[in-house]
Amino acid sequence: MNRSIIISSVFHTLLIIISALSLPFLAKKPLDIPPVVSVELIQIAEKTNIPFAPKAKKIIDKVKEKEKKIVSEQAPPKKIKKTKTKTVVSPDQNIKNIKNQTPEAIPLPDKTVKKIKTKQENKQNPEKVDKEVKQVSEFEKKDLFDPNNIAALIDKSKEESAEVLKNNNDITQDQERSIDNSGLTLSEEDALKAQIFGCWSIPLGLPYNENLLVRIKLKLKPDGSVTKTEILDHARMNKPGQGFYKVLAESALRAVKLCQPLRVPTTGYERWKELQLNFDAREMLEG
Amino acid sequence: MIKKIITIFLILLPINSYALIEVDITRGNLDPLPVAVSPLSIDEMSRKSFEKVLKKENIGEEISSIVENNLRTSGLFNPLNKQAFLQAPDIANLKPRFEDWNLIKAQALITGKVNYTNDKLRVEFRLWDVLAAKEMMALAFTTVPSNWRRVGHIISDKIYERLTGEKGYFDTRIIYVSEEGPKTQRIKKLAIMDQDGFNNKFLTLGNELVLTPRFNPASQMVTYLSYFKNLPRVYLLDIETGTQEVVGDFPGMTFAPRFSPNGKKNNYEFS
Repeated sequence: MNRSIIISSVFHTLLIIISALSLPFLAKKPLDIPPVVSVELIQIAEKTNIPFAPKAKKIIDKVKEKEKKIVSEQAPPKKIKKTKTKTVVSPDQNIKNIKNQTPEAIPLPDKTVKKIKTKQENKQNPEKVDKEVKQVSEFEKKDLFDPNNIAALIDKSKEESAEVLKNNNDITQDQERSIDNSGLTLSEEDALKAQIFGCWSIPLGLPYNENLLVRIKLKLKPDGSVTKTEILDHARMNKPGQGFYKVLAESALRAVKLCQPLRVPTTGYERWKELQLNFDAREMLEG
Repeated sequence: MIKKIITIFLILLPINSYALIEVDITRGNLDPLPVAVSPLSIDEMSRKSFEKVLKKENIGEEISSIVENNLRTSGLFNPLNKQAFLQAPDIANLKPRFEDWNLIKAQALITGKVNYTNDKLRVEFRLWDVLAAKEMMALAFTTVPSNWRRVGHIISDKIYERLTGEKGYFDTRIIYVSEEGPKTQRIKKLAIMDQDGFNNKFLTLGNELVLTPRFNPASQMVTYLSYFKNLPRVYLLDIETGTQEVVGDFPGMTFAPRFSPNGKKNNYEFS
C-alpha cells in the first residue's frame, strides 16, 4: 500500500516537473512567424553594401549645401579685402603726395600724421573685420563643414552604418532561431518557385470560381529529391462536386515529381527538410 | 521503472523544431500535356474476326488513333509519336515500365485491350500516371462491333475528364446544313456527323430548303425549319428512327424553332 503511494507520488511529482520544464518550451516554439522582411534586407546588405549609398549621398548633399552657404558668407570679406588693399595703397600715395607736395608748400606734419593715423585706422578696421569674418568662417568650417574632411565624414558614416550593421548582426545572431524559422531567403525561394513554375502544367478545365488551392507537404533529402508527398486537404478529394480538386492535386503532385530533384539551398537542411508547397491555380486561370 | 521514467522524460523533452516553410506556387505552364497513347493490344483470333466483320486490319490501332486524334485536336494534350514507344502494347497493358515511358517524357499513358467475344466488341483501357507510377482509371466497354468509333470517342471523353476536370465533348455529333450546287440552284440538305467529321449522314433529301437545325438537350431530336409547298414550317425529326413531323399547322409562316432547356417543349415564332 505504502509502496504504491510512494510510487504514485513520485510519478506525479515527476510528471509535474516534466510538464513544468517542457511545456513552456513547447509554448515558446514559434510556429506562425510572419516572414521577417527586415532580416532579408540585412542579408542583402551584407553582400551588396547598398545601404551605404543613400547615407553617403545624403551627407554629400548636405556638404554641398553647406559649401554654397559658406561661399556666400565668404563673399563680403573679399570685397572688404579689396577695399582694404586700396586703403593700404592710398596712405602711401598720400604720403607720396605729401612728399611731393613738401618742396612746394610748407609741410604740415600734424595734418599728415593725423591723416596717416586716420587712414591707418581705416586700414586697421577692415583688417579687424576681415579677421573676424575669417575667424567666423573658419569656425563655421570647423563646426559644420570642411571640404577636406568629406571623405572622413563619409568614412565616419560608413563606420557608423557599419556599427549599426554590426548591431543588427548581433541582434540577428541573438535571434538566430527565429531567422532559421523564417524560412528560405528570397533568392532561394525564387529559385524553387521558378523551377516548379516550369514543371506545373495546370489543368485547364477547372472551375474559376472555386477554391483552387492545393497544399502539399514534402519531405526532402539533402540533395533535393522528394521522399514523401502528402496532400494536406486529402478529405476534400472525395467530396461530391469537388472532382476537379483531385485533378488539380494530381497535377501538383506531377509537378513535384517532374521537378525532382528540387533546387533547394545547399545549406541548412534542417530548415527545409520539410516543405509545404501551396499550389494556387486561380491567379493563373483568372489571368 | 527508472528506464520508463527516462523514456517518458525523453518523449516529453522539448524538441527544437522548425516552422514549416511554405512556398506559394501561383504560376504554371499551359503547355499541352505529353500523353502516350499506346495501341490497344489485340490477340490474333480477335484480330481476324474483326477483320472479317469490320474490314479493318487492326481495330486496336484504329481505336487508339481515334483517341490520339481527339486528344490532339483538343489542344490540351500532346500525344507522343508512337515510334518512340519502348514497350509493346500487350505488355504495357499489364504493367507498364514507367521508367521507359518517363524517358520519352510522357506524363500520362493510355493502354488497353480489344477482344471479340460473342460477336461483341469488348474494349478495356487503362489510364496511367507515369510520374506517380500508378493507375488513374480503368474502364471496359462492350458494344456491337460497328460502334467501334463511338467507343474511341467515349474513351477520349473519359480520359479528357480525368485529366482536365472538365467533361469531354468527343462523343458528340454536329448537325449542319450542307450546301452544294451552283449559286442559283443551291441544294441544302440537313446532315449530321461525328465531331471529328466521320460518319456523315444526310437527313433530308435536299428537295426543300432547310434552315436552323437545333438539337434537343438529349441530342436525339432535331427541330428545324423547312419549306413545304413554299410555306416555311417547323419540323421535328427523330434522328434514330428518322421520322419527321410538322409541329402545328398555323396560318402564315412559322420559324426560328428552339427546344426548351428541359427538352419537353418546342418554341418558335409564327406570323
